Amino acid sequence: MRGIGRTMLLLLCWGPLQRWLLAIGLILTLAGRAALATLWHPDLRPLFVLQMAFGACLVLISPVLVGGIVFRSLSAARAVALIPNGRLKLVIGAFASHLLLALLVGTTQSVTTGKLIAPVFMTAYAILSLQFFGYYWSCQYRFGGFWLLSWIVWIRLIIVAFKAGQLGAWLNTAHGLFAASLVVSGAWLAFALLYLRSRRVGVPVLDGFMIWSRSASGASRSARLANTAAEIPHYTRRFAARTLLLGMPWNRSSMWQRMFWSILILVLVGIPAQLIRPLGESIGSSFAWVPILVVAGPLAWAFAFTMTQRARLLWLASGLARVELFRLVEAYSWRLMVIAICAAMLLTIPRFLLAIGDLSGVVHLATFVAIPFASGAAFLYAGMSYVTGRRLAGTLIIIVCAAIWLVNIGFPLSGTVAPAPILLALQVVLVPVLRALALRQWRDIDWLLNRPKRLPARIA
Amino acid sequence: MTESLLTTRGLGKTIGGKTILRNISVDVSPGSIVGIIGKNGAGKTTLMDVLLGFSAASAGSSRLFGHDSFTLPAAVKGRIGFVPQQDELVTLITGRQQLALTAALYGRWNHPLIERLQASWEVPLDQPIHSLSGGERQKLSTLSALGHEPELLLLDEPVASLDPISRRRFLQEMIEITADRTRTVLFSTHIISDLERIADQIWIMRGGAIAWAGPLDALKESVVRLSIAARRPLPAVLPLAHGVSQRVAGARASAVVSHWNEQEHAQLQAALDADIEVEGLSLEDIFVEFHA
Amino acid sequence: MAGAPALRIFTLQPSSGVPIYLQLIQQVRRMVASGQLTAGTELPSVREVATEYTVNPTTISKAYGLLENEGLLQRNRGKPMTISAGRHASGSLSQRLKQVESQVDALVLAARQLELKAAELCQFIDRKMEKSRD
Repeated sequence: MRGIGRTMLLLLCWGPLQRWLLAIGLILTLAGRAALATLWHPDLRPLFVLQMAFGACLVLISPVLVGGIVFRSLSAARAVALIPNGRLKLVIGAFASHLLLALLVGTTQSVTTGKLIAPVFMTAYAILSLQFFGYYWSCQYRFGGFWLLSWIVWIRLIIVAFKAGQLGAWLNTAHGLFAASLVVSGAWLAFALLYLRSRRVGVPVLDGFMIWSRSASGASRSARLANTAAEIPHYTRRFAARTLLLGMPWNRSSMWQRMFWSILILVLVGIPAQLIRPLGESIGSSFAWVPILVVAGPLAWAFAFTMTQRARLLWLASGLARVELFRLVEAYSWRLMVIAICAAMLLTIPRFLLAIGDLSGVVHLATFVAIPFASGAAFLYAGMSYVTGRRLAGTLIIIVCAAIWLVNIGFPLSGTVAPAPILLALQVVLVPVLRALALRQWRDIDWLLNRPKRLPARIA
Repeated sequence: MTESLLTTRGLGKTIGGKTILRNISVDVSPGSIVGIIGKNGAGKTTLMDVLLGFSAASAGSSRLFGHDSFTLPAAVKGRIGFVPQQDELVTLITGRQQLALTAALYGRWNHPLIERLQASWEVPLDQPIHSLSGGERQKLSTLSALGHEPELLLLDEPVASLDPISRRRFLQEMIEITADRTRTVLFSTHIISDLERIADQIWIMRGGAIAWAGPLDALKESVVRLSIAARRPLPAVLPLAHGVSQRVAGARASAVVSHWNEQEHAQLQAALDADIEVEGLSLEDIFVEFHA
Repeated sequence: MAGAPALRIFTLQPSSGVPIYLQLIQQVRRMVASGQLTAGTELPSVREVATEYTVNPTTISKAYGLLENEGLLQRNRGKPMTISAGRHASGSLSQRLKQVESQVDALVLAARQLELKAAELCQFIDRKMEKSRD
């Protein structure tokens, strides 16, 4: 039992940041629930509803985004093979924690929108399970991170199923619910059987931002750095600093190659996504930039956070002072973020071009383009702030950014055509403030706590 | 005449309420090989991180080459080499490329030295780093800290994964490096027999504080085991000025003391009216006695 | 005639309770006393000993320095150290006795434990010294 409990805990909140998110999320949700139940300040009801939803999102962020990876690391540890029924405990733990998360979503939704718990629970459970299975499978491979992009397709399918296929109505019936639960349980059973029977679980490939494989032949061939001479090749200081920060060699030719492949894959995934259009839905531009936002925020955070940790490797060797290292990490984070957002924008441009008649002015257009960058920049500096022993400050900054990011996403999903310019203004003002905060945090940066970690070693 | 390379005064480090280092005051003069020994969790890695400026000290000060550790200027950093316990190599590239990165960052590099060491230590340079074994990675990590010929070299458990032959070669190289008395080496290890060979200063860390800092020879002469045979029953607690541990059984006793000298010998002999046999202890025995 | 520096003439045990420099000193003294090292024999340099035995050169040079002070070794500029001709040039009786004091203490202790009388012991020592003169 203890093994199962421990697995659940690890999947739900691995690491101090995730623990904070879980705690704060639960508190917000429960407080909101309590306020709604006791009808305290009934006029503030929408606020409490929002609070509950936000709390639930905070709890879900970590398991959804890294649950598959964490599970794979846990399974790959050799110690697991020695514990009796080790893997069984792990998979039961995963099953149970996803049940709990789906339950959380179900109850939150039912309280806030009055829908029945059961259909929402089943839908949430199916979605969470799909993400878990998919990410678990993909993160052992080259391009594993691209699984996350496939959600562009899955979301479309789900929306189509609900709107055109009457999935919602079907789930409301007793036998629909029963059939759905059979399908999901069957999926878990199949997963468990395959998992328990597989002889060896590969370690998740995390070098190079979850996207690039570990196979050296791929990396060094494409980077064309291998020097056939017997001596040590000659690199520039900038190239060396860049390689250490990014964790992989990154020169001009390799960069173009990577961009080419990334864009190609994005386009290949994006086209079917675009083609699946819900019947009867107007082509609103507001939908177009949701995927861009989803990409911008967390990705920028991940880049900045990882490079901040890796900057430790440059402290002695490069001779740079803390402020100079801050600027270096900031510069590369911006570069990567801009590349990612532009790539995502390229993906949605066809749709956007179709919908250009909807936008009522240059202001809206500018907002449409600017908000992902502003949101990404906010997350970037949030990622660079989580650096000293005082974790609370860093966590709060992330939560503020997450709140604004969710509002950004909420806007188009709620049906409004374009976001209010005031939202953009707020974020644009926030960015320099966050930068100043990050710079101040960096003066006391503690690389003893913030060292690049090796995942399997840590969990095992 | 000798500028102190490394000086700490009252250095302390607390993380999350837990005190990891307490009141550490040491000096290192150029040309010495300092060995740091301590149990797991005694704070050796934290000490190195704080000395090098990765992390700010919670109390006290730490100065390297006369500059405060937390704000080391670039020139000073170029004179330091560090081999961390967990290697910080870029796993996607080959060893040769990794060395090239370090060479590019430091600016100066002794190519013949590294070639000689690479051959003698048998470090494969043309395979990707993620395919190397733990010991090979450790050797590569050490190599990349030697290329720019640092005046001060800090190593955190540099030989933990190495076989005895590789360890011996590593020790020989450390002796070579410090032979001209201008370069200094500080290293922490569990393999005490290595320290007994090449260290001239020893720091024993216990519970985050330094229980002993001084020359190895002095340590061995100062901490001894006494076998006492008296003519009449001994008191339950022996009157030892610096006793570390003792066992009394009637008229015989065995004790481990520190700060031993001729004077103590004479005094004790007179006080107890007994024959005292003095036995030197190996460094490992001394370490065990310190933690008894 | 002074031979080429012999390398492995010492037996150094780093893990012993006796510091390395002291081991070296005791061995040189013993070898000179027993005639193994004759006057004028060259000793290997500090660097050579350190490399051969993989020990810190500081401890070797400390030993050589102390032996030089005793008068046992002679420093020749530019050349390796040699055993000095003539024994213990600077050694009064009390100083020389002091150097064997620890061995005598051990001998006295052993004699007590074995219940040997002082006279018996001295006779034994006389016989041993006569034999070693041959």
